Amino acid sequence: MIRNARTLLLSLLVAASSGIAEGQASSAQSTAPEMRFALKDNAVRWAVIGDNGTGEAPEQAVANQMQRYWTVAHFDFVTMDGDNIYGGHRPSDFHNKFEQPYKTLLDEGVKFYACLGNHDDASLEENYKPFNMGANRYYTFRKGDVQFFVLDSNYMDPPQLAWLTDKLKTSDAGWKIAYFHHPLYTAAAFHGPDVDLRNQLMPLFQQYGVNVVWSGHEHVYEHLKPQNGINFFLVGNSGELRLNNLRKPNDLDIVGFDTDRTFMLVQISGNQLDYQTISASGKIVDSGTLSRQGVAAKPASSTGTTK
Amino acid sequence: MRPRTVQMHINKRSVLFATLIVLLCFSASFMAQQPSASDKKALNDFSAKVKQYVAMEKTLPADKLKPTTDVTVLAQQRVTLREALIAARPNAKQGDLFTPAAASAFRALLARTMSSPEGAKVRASLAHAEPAAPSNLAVNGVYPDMGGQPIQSVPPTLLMNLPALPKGLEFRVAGKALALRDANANMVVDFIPNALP
Repeated sequence: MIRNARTLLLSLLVAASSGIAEGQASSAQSTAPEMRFALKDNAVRWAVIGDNGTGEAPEQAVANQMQRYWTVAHFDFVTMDGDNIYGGHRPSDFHNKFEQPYKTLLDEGVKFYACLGNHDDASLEENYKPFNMGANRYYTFRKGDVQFFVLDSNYMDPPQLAWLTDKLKTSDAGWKIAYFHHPLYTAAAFHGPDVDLRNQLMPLFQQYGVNVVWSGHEHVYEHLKPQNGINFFLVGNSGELRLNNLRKPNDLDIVGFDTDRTFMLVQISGNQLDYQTISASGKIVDSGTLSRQGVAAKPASSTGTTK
Repeated sequence: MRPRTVQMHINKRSVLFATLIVLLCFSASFMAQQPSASDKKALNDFSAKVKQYVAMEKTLPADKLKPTTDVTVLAQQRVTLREALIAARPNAKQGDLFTPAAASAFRALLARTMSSPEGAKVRASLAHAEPAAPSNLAVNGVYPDMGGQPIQSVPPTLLMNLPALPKGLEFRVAGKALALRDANANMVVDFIPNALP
């Protein structure tokens, strides 16, 4: 009862604040958030953001959409693809670029799991409790049958590779998900893929059955074609945006989006991963379902188009 | 039958000869990739000095950074650690850990890596991460953040070819310089100017 009342109040507050932050989104926010997948009991459900920590209005606009969707999807946690705090790293920066934009979610107990981007201050952020890094540059955590491997792609040294090998080898999770900042594949023009990093990580991902990889760094959204059987997403536009930066046409993206900021909602239940990607203005730019590799099921589908 | 046997012998000889040439080329190339005995000694000496530095750091009274929600505390702990390190090595100067012999060995190591078949990927990776090149590296100084600009990521292949470092210390590329950074104190321990070719 109390929970429902809080949720209702939160919805109203979010709708009001979203309208103030982003005038153009008001029509999208006057209605209930649209879910493209059915919410399942006992599913692992989370949101994905990346390159968010600007402390500017667009970050807040994405955060408002996340709050709006939380009232429906009740995701438990958020994974962060890096560049969590841009620019300075004073206490006020942590407040303005993280604590304030996501205040409502933090107050509701939603946990954030950060990875380090090239703009991040490692020793401060890995010890900053709300990022849940446990004083480590790289770490792993598990939710149900899903194990997350959170890597520091700024400094992929032999000890980290040895750690990753060991953790992947000994994991008995049904789903193995890796996320880190620098993309192994991307159709974005600004940086491009990190081929040296790809050469080190892909053999491990393939050998030990990583199912999905998320990265950021490029300030766009991409759902890439599977590479060697592994699914790739890039969410690097939850605060920053590099307008029209995707190469068009390209043969990498199933869906590419580079005209607004986004975040993702993801749900894993059994052998199925459902996702939808929502823009700062509340538009769904991609959605679909993936089946766990090695399991006979319907093929992956996606509803978005490259933009 | 005889001519065929001769032909087979000639073929066998050709294969053996070709194999020998390939092996010789491979071993010459392999030798060229290996540090010289003097460079190996210089790199071992560097690793020994690094161990001494870490052992010294462990004896300092400064608190280790521990997870907290208070960034002010973390920032202060970092400053306290750096001040304690400076107090413990007030006369530290460039070349203490990267001695001239070690610097020479590192330059040779980096040159070999950059000219190897992986060199192009290393260069691409270096250029990939909004490379920043602080020109004001100073021993015992704060690692320059250049007004919030990112620290250069270090390509994995480069790290695989450099000596292993204990936790808390890391190599950082800063333009053409190679710095040894104390990650917890965010401090320049030492650096080699013009280390990269």
